[in-house]
Amino acid sequence: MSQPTRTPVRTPVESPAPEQNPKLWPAEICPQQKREMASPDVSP
Amino acid sequence: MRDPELSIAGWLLIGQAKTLRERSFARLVQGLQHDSIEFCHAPQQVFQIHPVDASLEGLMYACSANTWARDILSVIPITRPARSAVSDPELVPMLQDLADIIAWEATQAFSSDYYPGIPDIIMPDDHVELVMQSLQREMDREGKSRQREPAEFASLNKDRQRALAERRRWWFSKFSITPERWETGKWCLWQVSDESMPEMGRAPAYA
Repeated sequence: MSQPTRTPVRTPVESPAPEQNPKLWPAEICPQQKREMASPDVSP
Repeated sequence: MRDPELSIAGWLLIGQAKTLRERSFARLVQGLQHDSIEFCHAPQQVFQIHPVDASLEGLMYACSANTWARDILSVIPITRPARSAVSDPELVPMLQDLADIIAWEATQAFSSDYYPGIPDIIMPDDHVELVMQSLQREMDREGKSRQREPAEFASLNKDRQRALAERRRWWFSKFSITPERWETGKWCLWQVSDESMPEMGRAPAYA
């Protein structure tokens, strides 16, 4: 005996969260800002 | 692409530079004429030189043989004043390699599995804290302008904070800037290390 055909049911899924801005790392800043971040006003 | 702070002569020379000292020298060259040289930090002073070898090394040797050029390359400012009321003093552009290395070190402190300090360096806790605050101020400013959350140095464990401060001092010393010399406000090209520039492009992906 053949099985009755079933209509596929779509399972609800959570919508993806909006992508967060990735964290900013020191190596990503521009050359001039790196010269400032080196903080030459603070003794090595 | 040429660093806008680098002269065309410096740009051509830095292509030949292998060591930290050679790279710093290339960044110092403002102009080359028929038989003379000018430096970024000594505007309108022209130094006669007589290189015998057509190389960066030969050019540096010729500068060291000229008393005035040798002396002017021994007293180079460390800082440039803040450009506005909301910014801070910055390293002179001739120390761009040092700035790049410190920014790379700062990122490594967050991302590297192993990040040791320098055993020979003795530094009090309050100085470590001061260095972390100084690194953070530019990150905060830049994070605000880019609307991105900046890395927080205070979130590093204490050992990593100390290691970063010690490594910062170690790299400054590679560019001749010890705490004692820092007090004078000047650095000396001839005391910059002959070591190669570290390979920073092969750092692991950041978390």
